[in-house]
Amino acid sequence: MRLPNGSYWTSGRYAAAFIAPALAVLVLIVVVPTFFLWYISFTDYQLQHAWGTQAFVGLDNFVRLISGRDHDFLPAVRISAVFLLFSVVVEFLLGFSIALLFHRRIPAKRLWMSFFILPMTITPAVIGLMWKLIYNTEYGVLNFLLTAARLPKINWLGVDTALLSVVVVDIWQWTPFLALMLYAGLQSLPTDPFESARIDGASSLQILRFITVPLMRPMISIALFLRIIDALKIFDTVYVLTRGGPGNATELLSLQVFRVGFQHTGWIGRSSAIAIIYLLLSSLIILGFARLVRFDSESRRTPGETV
Amino acid sequence: MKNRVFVTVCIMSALLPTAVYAAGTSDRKPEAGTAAEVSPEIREWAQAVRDRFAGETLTMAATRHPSVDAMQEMVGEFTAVTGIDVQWDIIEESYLRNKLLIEAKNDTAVYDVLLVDAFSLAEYVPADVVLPLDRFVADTTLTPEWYDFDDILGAYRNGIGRYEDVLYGIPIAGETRYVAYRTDLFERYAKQPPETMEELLDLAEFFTGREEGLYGIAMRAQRGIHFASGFLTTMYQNGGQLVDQNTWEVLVDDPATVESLDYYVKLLAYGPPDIANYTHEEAVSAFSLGKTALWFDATALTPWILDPEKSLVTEQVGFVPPPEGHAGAYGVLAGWNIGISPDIDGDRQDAAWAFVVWMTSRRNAEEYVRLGGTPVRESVFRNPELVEENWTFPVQLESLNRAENMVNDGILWLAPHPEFIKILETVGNYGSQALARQITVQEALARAQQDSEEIMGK
Repeated sequence: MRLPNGSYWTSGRYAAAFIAPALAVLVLIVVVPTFFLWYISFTDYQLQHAWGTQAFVGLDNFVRLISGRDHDFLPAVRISAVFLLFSVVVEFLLGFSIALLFHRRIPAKRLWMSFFILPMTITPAVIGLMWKLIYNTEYGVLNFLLTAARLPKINWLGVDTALLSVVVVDIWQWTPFLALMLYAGLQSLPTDPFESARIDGASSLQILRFITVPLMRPMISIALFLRIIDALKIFDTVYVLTRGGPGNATELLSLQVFRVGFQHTGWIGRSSAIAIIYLLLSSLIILGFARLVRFDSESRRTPGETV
Repeated sequence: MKNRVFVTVCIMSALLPTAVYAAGTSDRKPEAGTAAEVSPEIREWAQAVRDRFAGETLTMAATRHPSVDAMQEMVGEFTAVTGIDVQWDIIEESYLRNKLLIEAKNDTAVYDVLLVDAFSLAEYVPADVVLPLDRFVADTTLTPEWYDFDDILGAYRNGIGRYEDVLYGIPIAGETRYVAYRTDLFERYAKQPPETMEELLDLAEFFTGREEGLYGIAMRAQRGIHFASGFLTTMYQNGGQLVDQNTWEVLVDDPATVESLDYYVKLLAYGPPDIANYTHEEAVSAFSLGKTALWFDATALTPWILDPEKSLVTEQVGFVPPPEGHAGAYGVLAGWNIGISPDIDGDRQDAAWAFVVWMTSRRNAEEYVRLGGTPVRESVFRNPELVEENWTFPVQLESLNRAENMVNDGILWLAPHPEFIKILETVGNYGSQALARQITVQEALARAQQDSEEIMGK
């Protein structure tokens, strides 16, 4: 009996036995489909054609995308990047400010917070429909307010404005998420550094810059991490709101995968190639960000030790 | 305890729709021996049917549709007259299509009578889902005089019921598209409703900004299938075609099609600024709220425009048939048929035909329409009492005649090819880019041509 020192249960053999079922499921639902996706992306498989009739086309699907022969792909990459950058950055800045505000003593805080969480809890498709009405130039509430203030109407979902309007909806929905995460982080910080800083006569801005932000770094990283992953996956809100239009002004990669693969055209092979590239780009962004975060936490420790 | 009550309520509310559904589709037993009051004109037919099929049960596969509701109302009398009982299997529209294909493939003969979407005939006919019906129509013992096949509008008979010159279905519902205009505005500026496509464009231009917040026209233009559907409303009159419906050659970048798309993009420029996001719902809302002077969309949406709860223009609206273009006075056409399964034996086919006769005959057409069925017969459209109740009937009839012109010229609104829907999607995507001025009309259709050729290639 080797129980007392614990190594009996943590020895490799037993650990493997316990992990095996979960691993098997993971392989079945993640690894196998991913390999299948890779395979399909090298064929010309179409949704309506019988399985087995597809032909191997090598890298043709990928070449078509990268060479620009598919006119919509490269714009979609750009649109996805703009969407990701703008939504996450603004959501972070807004969310952090709101978290700081909540961190103070304000009246009826709980009430404000529950209002605040509402957007997050609504189904994305409903949000899409809601904002479609809000944005309508003729009978939408936004233009009604503009007209009431004697300002000119804005075509919110025009070709130049639609992407921005979609970003605004995302900000409206997901800023509360970041605010909540960061607020929880602020609540968990030790109070001593702040007290000593105040005694030393540091200004609020200095406290924020040199104490709050460094201490919050792990929380900020995780919150941003989750947000980036979520923002990369967005589909339903945009699909209901614009279907990727007008033109292809709001066609994110996720919408393009759906359009090419399922929305009547049924080109699964080509759609899979887009999905693969999308997957690679997403992984790169997420890995890159993870790297950045680790680098940061290390660099933070080094000066801390020398001071 | 509280919890249990809650759970029970949840379960019950989940089951409730099922119960209602079951109640709605339960068998109606034939009222045996109540066949007394049969009017003399149908007595001979009724007796013949009763002798052969009394006590049999037919099953119809259908989807929720006002015309199907009307038939369900009428089935009691049918059973009383013929002794044939009818069961209904009401299935959601997209499942219905798949189910019919699967049942046909396995020769199950589960269904006798089928609801058949005109556009799906291209897929149904090669898969043997539907039985040719010309034989039944020609047989005077099966088809009595009061049926009057030729009274069904030519557009529907030939454009909805026939596929490659064979009759596979009897139309029970359909729609075309026409133009609504604001009579008050047209009077104020002394304008006449459009008769040609050119006039339509000019009028849309004229009214844009003529009054505060007023635009020329509302149509559907959201990226994809909606844009394509709107485009097709104007394309054929203007000479455009997406495919040659005989050779299946792709004609997307044909100069005539390019010119037609150019027209549509120009026309949409006289719509509300966010028209690029409009489906048929936004389009009909915009017109109903008085935002546009014109509207060009489906006849089936007419009740929306005339409903005082939804519309502000019920008293200031007029309708005209689809304007004539240089290629012809055309109209679009979509609709539903009832057909018969070829998997049932010959006797049952005759019984199924008796059901079709009863539901779609001229004799019962007025009742059918009064019960909410969509009119498909000329006699109904010309029935003075019905016209008084729905004053748009004459315009609808004229619009349908234009739809017949197109059928007679050998063009179906939606080309009967399984891949056609993909071409529509493609044209709708690139078309939307042309509307947004991201690319030119020429470029849009050149790209759509390339994709469409690939679609038709395999």
